Amino acid sequence: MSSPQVIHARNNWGLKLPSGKDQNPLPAAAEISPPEELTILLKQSPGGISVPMVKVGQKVFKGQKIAAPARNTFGSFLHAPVSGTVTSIIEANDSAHIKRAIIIVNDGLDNVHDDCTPISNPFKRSPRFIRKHIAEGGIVGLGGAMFPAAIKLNPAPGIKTLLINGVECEPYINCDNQLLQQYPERVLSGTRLMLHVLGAEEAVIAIEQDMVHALMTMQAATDALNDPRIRVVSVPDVYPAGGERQLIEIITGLEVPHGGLPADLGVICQNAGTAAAIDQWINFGEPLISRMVTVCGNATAAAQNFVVRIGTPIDAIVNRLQATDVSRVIIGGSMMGVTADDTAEPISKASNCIILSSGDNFSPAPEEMPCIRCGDCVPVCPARINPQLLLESMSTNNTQQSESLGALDCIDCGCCDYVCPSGIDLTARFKIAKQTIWEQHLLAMRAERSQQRFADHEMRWLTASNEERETLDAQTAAFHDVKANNSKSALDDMLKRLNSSKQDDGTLKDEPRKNDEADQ
Amino acid sequence: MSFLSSSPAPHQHSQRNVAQMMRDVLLAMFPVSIMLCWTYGWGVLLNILFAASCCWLLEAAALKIRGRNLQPWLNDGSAPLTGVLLALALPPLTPWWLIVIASLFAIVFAKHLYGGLGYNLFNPAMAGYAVLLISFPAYMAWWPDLSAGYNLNDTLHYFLYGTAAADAFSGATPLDAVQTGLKQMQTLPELVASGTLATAGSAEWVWINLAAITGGLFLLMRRTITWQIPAGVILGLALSALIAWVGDAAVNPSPWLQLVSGGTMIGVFFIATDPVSSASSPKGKLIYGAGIGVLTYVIRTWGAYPDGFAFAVLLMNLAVPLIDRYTRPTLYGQVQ
Repeated sequence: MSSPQVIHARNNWGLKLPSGKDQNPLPAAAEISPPEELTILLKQSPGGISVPMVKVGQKVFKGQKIAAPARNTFGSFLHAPVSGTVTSIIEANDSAHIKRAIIIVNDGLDNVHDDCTPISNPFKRSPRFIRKHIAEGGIVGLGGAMFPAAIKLNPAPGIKTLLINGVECEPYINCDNQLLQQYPERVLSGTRLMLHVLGAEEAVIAIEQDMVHALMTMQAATDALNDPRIRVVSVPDVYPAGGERQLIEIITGLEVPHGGLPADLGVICQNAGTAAAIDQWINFGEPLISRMVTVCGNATAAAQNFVVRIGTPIDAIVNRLQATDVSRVIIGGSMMGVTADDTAEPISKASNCIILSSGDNFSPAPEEMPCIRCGDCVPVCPARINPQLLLESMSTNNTQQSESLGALDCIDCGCCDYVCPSGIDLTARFKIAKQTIWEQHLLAMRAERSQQRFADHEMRWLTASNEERETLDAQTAAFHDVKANNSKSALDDMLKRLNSSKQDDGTLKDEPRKNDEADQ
Repeated sequence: MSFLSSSPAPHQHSQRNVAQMMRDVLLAMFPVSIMLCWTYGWGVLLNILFAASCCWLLEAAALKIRGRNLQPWLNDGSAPLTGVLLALALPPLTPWWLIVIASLFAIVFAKHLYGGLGYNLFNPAMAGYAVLLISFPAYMAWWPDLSAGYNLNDTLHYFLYGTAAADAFSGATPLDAVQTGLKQMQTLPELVASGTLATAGSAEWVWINLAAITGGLFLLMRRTITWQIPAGVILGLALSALIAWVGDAAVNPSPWLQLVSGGTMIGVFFIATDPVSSASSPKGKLIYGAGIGVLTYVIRTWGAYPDGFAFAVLLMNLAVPLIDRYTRPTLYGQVQ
């Protein structure tokens, strides 16, 4: 057996964290039997909220499409994880607490939908067909970002390397480790499918060096497959080496250009779990309706990995483990995980890990003190932000400076937060800074547009004849009237005028910028 | 089951905190304090205890006046630390009112008027010490003769009244001796041969500096400080001294003499490394340290004061915002 190529650390960012993971060979993962009621969240991709394709009361089969991506968004298809009946569709304004979701009551039969059939001879199919099919399977990035896999697999010219991310660097999360040990052939098969779609030259399967057993099984499976395009590499166990841009930096020694994409370097990065999910869908006909989830924390006897249907409430897992005294639930790892509001929250395609803690599983951050400018946060930042200067710019509400200091480059890894002796919640604050900056950009864009409208109006007036000017002046006066008095009649007048000036095709007679749309 | 409490990520933290860092520095200063007491007697201990309590009380008063809570500020250890640093900079015999003045300036003016812990532009201990250097140069230059053997009684007398009880011979630190000697047109080999340097305690100061290095290594091991600032200061000072020394060894002290005479190593490891008033990025810290080293050499050689460390630190404090600005790491992806 050949051994994986070992890549050494070239960078000094990041942290050596206690992994909190099982270093022994992992036993096969059990399945959590689907509960009576499942909640499938409609937002399961960063691109937007999917639109339900089913009605309340409708019977659905396992694997049947129940929601489609909204038009012009990077959304994803959602499928029924079980067969049963749709009992309700929760819209945003139904409840402040529960997010938009489809509720399905399980009939316990697991009757599979007719659409769920494997693709025979996928390598004889066109890359385009496979890519479209991957989108139909609702496959998204399973590393936590849930970016639709098919969009990333859009073969831009010059893609050389497919990077399979098996670097599970965040403490506690162990699901990829399980997958790599238990189903190496699935990961490899998915990898080959993606190579086919992308037309890439090589695939690099990156695994963290302390995931010894995963490295061994993956290397053995790769040797057995004997595909010269695929190799396994071992990367340093530094957090966050598994971040997409960080991993690319480690493997290639190059940095994704600022504001660019990995494809600019000829690299596409996909999670190992995503590769397995693609294999499951193309070769076995099962869309993304379940995932591997690590369940750990001090409220459980031992950390375990389970195969869980998407939409299973955390309650079902708590009951299965007979975990008592759960006082806090974190979805995700200890560095980037989100605290759940409620144990009724369901597993989504992003839920790689559930930490059930009773009391203090983690020692709290030190009491917050002012920044003492020690600079410990500077060398650990993988985005090479000076977090301390960024914090300072935020305290003076200088968003322009915050942006130039890299607020939008923050990847929320939490390294600066971890080392801060003053216990400042830097990561949470930087998230707010990002929000503020985006909002300001939006405002600036709107201001620019209305300025343009005003300029257009002025130009019309200047180039108009005297009679036309009268009309224009009347329009302006009416507009100011509406603004000043909010008068209904003036508004009606304006609407009437607007309608009368419309041509048959619905456009305005003197539409100022006909190629507005083309511009954008 | 729903939960009310939620806290943002990350949920895991290193177990460091500000108070612990300050305690580390206080602990690291034990060896050098003991060595100074051993060499210069009770006065050093008296200075340390009095200055530390003075700063601590003034911190409490300042917090009270500013309407702040006394906790956790009074327990963070930063005020006593300022006191101890100040005491180590002072001559072993210093009247109490000078210590009060320096503490007042350090804690109230240099620290709290700027906003308290974390906001001060200048190193508080050095700001307090500089006030004494400028306003009371005679007291600051008066170092006890090593052979005089001050007992506790004499020390207390001087501490309380500012006048020597017995016939006291004014001594000097090796740096003073060098400066005075050179002004009198003596060369360094002559100063060594005549025993002037030895009388001023050149051997004792080597031990004092070694004790400071021990504490510094402890801080480096505990990662309370990083290597960049100490390395910068040592390199800056040693290289400046080396150039001059190679030029003319008769009138320019060797790099070794520069590094081990006077409290250089105390400054290198405990004063220059004050996080609040120093640069923040690794590169910035190196530049900041080097600046202190070079300026210390310049002031020692051409300035009116025998030791320029305090002024070098204060001048570089002023340069910190600029250094931080120009040593910002390039964001990921911006270098190609």
